[in-house]
Amino acid sequence: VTDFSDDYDRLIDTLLDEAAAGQRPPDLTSRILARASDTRKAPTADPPRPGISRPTISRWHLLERVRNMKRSTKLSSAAAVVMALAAAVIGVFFSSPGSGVAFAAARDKLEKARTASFLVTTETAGNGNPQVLETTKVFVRDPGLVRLESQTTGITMLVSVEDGTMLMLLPPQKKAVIVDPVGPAVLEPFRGVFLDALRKQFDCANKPLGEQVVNGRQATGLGGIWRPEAGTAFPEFPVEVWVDSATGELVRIVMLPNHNMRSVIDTFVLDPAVDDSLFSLEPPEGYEVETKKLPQVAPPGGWAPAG
Amino acid sequence: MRVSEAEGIDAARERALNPRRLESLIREHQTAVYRYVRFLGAEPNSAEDYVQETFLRAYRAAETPGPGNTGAWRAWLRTAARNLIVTDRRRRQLVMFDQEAIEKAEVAWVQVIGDGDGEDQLAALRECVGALPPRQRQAIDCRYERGTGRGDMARLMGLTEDGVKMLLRRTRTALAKCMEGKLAGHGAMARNRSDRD
Repeated sequence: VTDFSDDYDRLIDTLLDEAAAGQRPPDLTSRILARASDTRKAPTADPPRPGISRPTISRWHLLERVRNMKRSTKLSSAAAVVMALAAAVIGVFFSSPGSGVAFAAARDKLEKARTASFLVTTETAGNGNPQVLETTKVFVRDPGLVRLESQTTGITMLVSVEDGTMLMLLPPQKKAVIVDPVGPAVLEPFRGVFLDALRKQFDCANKPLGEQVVNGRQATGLGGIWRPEAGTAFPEFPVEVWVDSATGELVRIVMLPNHNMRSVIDTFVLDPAVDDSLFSLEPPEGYEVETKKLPQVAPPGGWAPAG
Repeated sequence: MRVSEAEGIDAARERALNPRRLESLIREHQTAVYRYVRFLGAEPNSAEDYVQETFLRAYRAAETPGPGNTGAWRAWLRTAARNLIVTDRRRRQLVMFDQEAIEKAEVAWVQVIGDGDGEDQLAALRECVGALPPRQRQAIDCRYERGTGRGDMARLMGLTEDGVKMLLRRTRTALAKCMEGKLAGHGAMARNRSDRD
């Protein structure tokens, strides 16, 4: 959490940084005007090809941020990525009428599913030798239950969107942290997982990517740009979705937030046979339990400043 | 269409930005917005992104402050930038951002910088740095000009790391008071500092 406890001291600190370095703030006029021009043209322009970084997204320096994250925040970051990915998947499928038999079958399977599990791997990209940053096993169940198991950090996170509660489990320390109430700011990304919400919220352009062998299966690809509504907590980014050409089963989804990083979702199981206890927000026996209250913040929606 | 409706639409169009007004707006306010987002903790590269997105939001907004209304524009842009930072951090790390704390930061900014862009304060600060006693000047040079870490500064200056921290803090306090003396009408900075000290 950023420390704002001594604002005046920090303001002097900021000014000193600039004064001592002797560097003026950069002139961003041309850059912003160029971007504004792109924005104006956007409604009529072809969507960028998946795999090609978009200028705004590439500047977010996601890779550096992930590398610099503490272990505990990596899982949280992964959770956000997972939610975005899941949203992208559903968004592509539900906005792609006429995309072929395979996709129609996949869409139908997703529409009927109430529980799903998948694996999310976030890795470096673009240098031909990807380095895995985070791997997370995800379980989702309607209505409003999510379980994230980080295979990198060992931390498990459970969220009930309906109840507004969260449980974090740290097995090495035998510690359980109950977060109650969670608050809308944290819950918001998780709401995106659920199908009913996603159908309404996302609009993806679609572009056939042809066929290729993916995870050892002949697969048909569909590319698109996942675009959240204004005011939601995710940036837009290119996605690729690959389904088994014969069976219509999901094979792989690739999200490309920038040219340095990509996330891959695979190992999909729809309606897996899992015990209800998997989604239990009760701390396991033998765990030291800690309860935390997070500061409540206003939910998104106040994007338009009041002038 | 009734006359009042037409007038309303025309007024709204007048308040929305066209590219020419956007350029003028960027040139007038980008320095202030950049300093503001740096003050809120953004690193230089991120600060550039926040500044860009702030002005793009203004460009896309259906209604904005009228031309020439500098104070209203500064407040509008700060709010947009603040919202961007809060939401961006929340999105990337699920870090809880204390809304009350960031609003207090806004108050500090307004009290010290006001509706300006920070140029006056920066000029005063440079003068004040030049007038510092040698020991404090050395600390400022090490920390801000050369980027020396606290541990290295401690060895260089024969202090403990906590001692360096205290020296820098006292120096910033002295600079704030010096700036107040040079900037009539910006007394809130030192007044608030002395209230806390």
